[in-house]
Amino acid sequence: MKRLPVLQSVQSAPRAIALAAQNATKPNRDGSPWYARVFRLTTTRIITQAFCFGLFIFLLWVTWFSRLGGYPASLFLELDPLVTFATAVSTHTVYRWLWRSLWILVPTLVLGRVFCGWICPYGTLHQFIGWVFNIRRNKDNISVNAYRPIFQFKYYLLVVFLILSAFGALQIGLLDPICLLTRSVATAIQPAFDTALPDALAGIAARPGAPHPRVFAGAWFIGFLLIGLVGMNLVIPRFFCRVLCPLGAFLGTLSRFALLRIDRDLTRCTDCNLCMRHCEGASDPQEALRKSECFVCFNCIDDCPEDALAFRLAPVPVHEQIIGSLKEGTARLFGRKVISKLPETVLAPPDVPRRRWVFAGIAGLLAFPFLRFSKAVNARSYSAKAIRPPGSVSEPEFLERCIKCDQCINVCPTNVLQPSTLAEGGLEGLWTPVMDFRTGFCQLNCTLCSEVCPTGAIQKIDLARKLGKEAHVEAGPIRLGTAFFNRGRCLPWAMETPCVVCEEVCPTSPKAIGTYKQEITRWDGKKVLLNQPYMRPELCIGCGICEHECPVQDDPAVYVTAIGESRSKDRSLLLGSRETPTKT
Amino acid sequence: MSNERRRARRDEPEPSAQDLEQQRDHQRIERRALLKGALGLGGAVAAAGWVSLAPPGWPLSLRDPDGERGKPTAAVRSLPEGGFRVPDAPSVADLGVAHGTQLKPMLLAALDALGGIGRFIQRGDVVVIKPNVAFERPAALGATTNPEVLTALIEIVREAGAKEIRVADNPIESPSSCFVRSGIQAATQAAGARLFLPTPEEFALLGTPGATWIERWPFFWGPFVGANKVIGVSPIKDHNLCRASMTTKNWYGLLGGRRNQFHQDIHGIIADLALMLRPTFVVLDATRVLFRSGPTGGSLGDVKPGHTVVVSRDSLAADAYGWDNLLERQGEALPAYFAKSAARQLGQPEWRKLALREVNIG
Amino acid sequence: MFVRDGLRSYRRTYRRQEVYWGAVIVAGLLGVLLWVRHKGQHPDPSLYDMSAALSGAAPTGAQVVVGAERTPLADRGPGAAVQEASRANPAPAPADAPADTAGAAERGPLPPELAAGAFREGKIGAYTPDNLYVKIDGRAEYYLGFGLKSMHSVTLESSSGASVEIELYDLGAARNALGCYNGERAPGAESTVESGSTFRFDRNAAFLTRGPYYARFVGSDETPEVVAEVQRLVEILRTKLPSEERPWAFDLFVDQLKLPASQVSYARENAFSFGFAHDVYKVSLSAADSQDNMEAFVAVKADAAGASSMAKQFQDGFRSLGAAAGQTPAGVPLFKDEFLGSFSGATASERWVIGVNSAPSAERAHQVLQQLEQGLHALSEAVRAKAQPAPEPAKGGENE
Repeated sequence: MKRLPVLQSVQSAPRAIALAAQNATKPNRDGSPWYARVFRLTTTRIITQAFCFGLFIFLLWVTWFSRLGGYPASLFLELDPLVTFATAVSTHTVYRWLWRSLWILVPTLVLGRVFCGWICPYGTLHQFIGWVFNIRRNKDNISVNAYRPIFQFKYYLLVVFLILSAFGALQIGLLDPICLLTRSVATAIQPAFDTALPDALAGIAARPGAPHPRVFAGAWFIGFLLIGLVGMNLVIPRFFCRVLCPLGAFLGTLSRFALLRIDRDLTRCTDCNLCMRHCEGASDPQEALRKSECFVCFNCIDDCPEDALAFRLAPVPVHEQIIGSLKEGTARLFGRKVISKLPETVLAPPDVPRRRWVFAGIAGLLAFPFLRFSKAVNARSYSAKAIRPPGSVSEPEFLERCIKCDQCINVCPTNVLQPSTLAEGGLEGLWTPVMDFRTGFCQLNCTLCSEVCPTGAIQKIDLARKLGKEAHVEAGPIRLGTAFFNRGRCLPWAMETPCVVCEEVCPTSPKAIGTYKQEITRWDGKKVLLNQPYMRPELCIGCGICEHECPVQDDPAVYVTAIGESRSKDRSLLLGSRETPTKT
Repeated sequence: MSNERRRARRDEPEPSAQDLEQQRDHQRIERRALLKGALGLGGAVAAAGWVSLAPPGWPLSLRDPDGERGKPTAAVRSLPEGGFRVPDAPSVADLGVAHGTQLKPMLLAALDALGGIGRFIQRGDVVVIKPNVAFERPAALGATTNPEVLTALIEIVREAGAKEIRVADNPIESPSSCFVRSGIQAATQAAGARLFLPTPEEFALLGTPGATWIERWPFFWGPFVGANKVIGVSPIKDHNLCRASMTTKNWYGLLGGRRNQFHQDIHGIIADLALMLRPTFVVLDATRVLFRSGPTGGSLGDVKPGHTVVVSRDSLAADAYGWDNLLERQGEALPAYFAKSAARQLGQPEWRKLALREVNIG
Repeated sequence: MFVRDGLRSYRRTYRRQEVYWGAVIVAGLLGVLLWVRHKGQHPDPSLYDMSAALSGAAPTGAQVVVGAERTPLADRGPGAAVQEASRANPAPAPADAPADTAGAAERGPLPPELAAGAFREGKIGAYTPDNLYVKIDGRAEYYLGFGLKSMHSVTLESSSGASVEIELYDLGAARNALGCYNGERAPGAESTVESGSTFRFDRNAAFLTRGPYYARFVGSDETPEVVAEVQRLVEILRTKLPSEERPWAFDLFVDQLKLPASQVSYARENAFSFGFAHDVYKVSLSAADSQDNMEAFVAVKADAAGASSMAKQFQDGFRSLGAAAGQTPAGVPLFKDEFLGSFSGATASERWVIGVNSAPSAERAHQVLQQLEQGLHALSEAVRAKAQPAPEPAKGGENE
């Protein structure tokens, strides 16, 4: 039944709507009811993708003190199988909620890379941008979705990352899609969103009630990287997913055991290549499906006019069953004529030559010493400003666990946590959380970062552990570092001017800052009472509110450095300081 | 034109009248296009010239010969003349002190000593209540206003007929955590008042004529839009630098900007705060007294129960009373801000010269 | 999307099976949504639990600094005042070297064997007047004003996390301790006076004075366990601390005038906020809940001339607060307070200065003065000889 062209034939809007509704609910040409077309699997897939993306953004939006409640804020990170696997390799444990990745792993083993096609929010973003700004005609769409050898690159990356993990340097966070998107949203997108939001909508701001707009070190790079990678979809659709994604590579390697896959019926396929028009994974459905690239998006089934593609259980290549020659057109399969001219080659997931695997392995083996011995993260020369959040394990274990997802940075109420730059942690520590007390300070009664860390780089601690009270009195409070006075810049010490904000805001009781009281006669004859502060290092917990409030803001007269932190025995300052066990 | 072409032209038939007509039409069109283009060009040039050369006062002129116009200006607001005070009433007491454990009766009794809540709050008032929520501490540590006192006060104000009650403070630590952990947010919401968080767009420059340090300073303006009564509720705390933090220093929490410079002349600043904001009345919440290790406290051993509230229109008097009787520093000299503020006629530190009514409730 | 036919799909057949699978998947999504919502509404209680912030025990690792606070010599402003010289008195090198029997010295007058039941001794601290503010920042001046000699503190902690802290102040003389005790007592709080001790309880705290000592007990919370422990510790200190002979003024107020001992107080300096008034004993004559605040007071000087000059100072002081209001029948000038409307007066009787403050009427003031005069005369010779002025408080260097 031909559909009436709606706009050309009708002048008024209500009639147009009624006509459109009528058109939409007509039975299909093959007799199946209208809802079989409207609610086909690709529609469900789009709904699922939208739902997962929305849920992802919601969970990041809700990662804030006033909203967190009990929401599983790091759910997608915990679902990410590469995070679980790589941390299991580096720490030999599966921390806390990371077992949830089984909910993704098991379907992957059965269905293939459904995660990439249905769930991954970063993949949804790429797909959406690639679809909205797609200006190609059919022919170009088909050619751009062909498989290219460069898609092997993600497997090299995966090998390098896994070897590094085995040695204790967890770097998957650099390119893992969930970590990358979490980091980008937390440090670049949310501050931009909050700034652009009109006052009337302040209730839906990402960070409501924040006294200052949130700032993050290196957000420019993270943001531009996001724009760049997403922009590459205009060149090759789902560029990141096909070329760079280590999680995709991991799931692709596991897909080789998948029970269900797209199968091409040679007796129906006319080699029109329309199936490649919107193939998301560039997995060659028109030839022999590369299961490790297939995103199970079902776009190929949607585009095949001959019904030649189907999602079947455990198909085995049929080329041995063909009688006759494909080229001459005399081939027959199970009694039917074989139309397609393209033979079905052996499925080879993933299609990486063995020598290239070896090369990747060697690169990984070398990468570890290059990273680890580049001074920035070594015990002999760690950066004084690399102050980790409270509850962090000691540095070697931290680098085994931190996936640079920046959820802790996302939730921190005072904006003190910043993604590390190359200066503080080298490449190995890039984008891991460090504290910058000029933007904020560690609030005394807050343990939010430990709650949202998915991998246990920041162990879950309760308030009693952080403050050194109740059961933890013997161990003492968690110290992040120690504060020091730069007397040459301090107003009462060097400038005859009363101050002592640092002592006022010091939260410990008794205060870790004491004052010598001196009454002096200034250069202009005025008498002033100076409270000259000094440190009591046994009491200092390194929270940094003194540095934050010091009026000499550009280079504070009291500043916190990492020494004396309780998480590392080799970074203690005082002989009498007690060692805090790192794993409680 | 080449010779060949000339010859070919010569041999061509002459253009007909119709053709010439057509040509003239075309020329007309060309003239019109020229006119349009010329007008557009002229207009653009005239506009550019006007904008850059017309004298600065003229409309649409952007001329700035000496850079003065380019300097950023910010609107400076002011609070109402005379602050938020109600008229004097000589026959009532100036200080109302109530001892006991039941907060609402205590507050009511103390307010009755001053003439009753009706003297201060009338129907339809928009009231701003400013508690001290400076630190993220549980209320029991005495560093913040007791949320039960705030609840009782909001109820009393509501019963007096206030149309809208606003609770606001700009804490030193992270605002959302401070309001929640001190119990003030829960108390505010349970009592039905409106909470204001200090987000950047709520701040505006405030002019305080006559102030030494804060003549123009960023101020938490949002809650004050449309408000006509202001009440301060502060705890009573020891303070290493300014010796005590009570109702006069409470207004510190309405300022923004770089407050960490204030400690260079803390007493001058407190005197300026007294000048900046003249409240309707203040409540000194001495249900707990943070008598040492203030203003942050941090240990229950720093707090002792005080079982008292003091209400007054005069924050200096309330502070002096608290200094003598609740912090028990009678005999020590008053902090310097008392003298500075008294010199500006902002209050009477010698509370014994004022009429005082003291009640014991339960 | 912007391409012609971009939204179109080329398949020709559709299956109902896909719709069923789709429904199952959408149902799964709804399930996920409900699960997330459920998790959101059931937060982990430890995340918002602030009780740890209220625990009494101070974090360990806090070594208390013992020994005098030294102001550093370098980096001072020009023309630094003379106070520095006295402050720069270096005390002996820190007494925190516990190698010898300094442990015993650290306890000071704290009795041994305080720990019992569930409570064990924790930190012990010893403080001198110069470093007291390390411990009780902001409050030190009060005790220094009563002539503090030293303070010792001990915290008793139980395994359940509860604790009680004792601060024991040695104020040198019973009168100082008594004055310090009463200065921290709210007007309504009643004390118990028993066999040389004066004490009171207040929920999870207690205050005790005995001999030259003043002790404060503070519990970490108000559980019955902690309150019982406080009571037990008060009992111990009451029996173990040395007592002193009670000051002579008690003979006058308690024995002669029959007033309750718990109402007697002492001001070492600044009595009634007068700068000259040192060493004054006061007794409160009004009921605790009444509006009046009548007090009788007495002071002793070295000789009659000293007494009469102090009486004159009192008279001048009362006059400055109001106006002269005639005399008592005995010839003592009375003064009426300008705002309170009460009567005050003072006079000398031999070496003693007697007076009344804030009497509600002139008759009452006269009555009290007569009682004091008669009481003085009725004292035995021994007591009169015992009544000597206290040493003047040292000027400068001591008070901040």
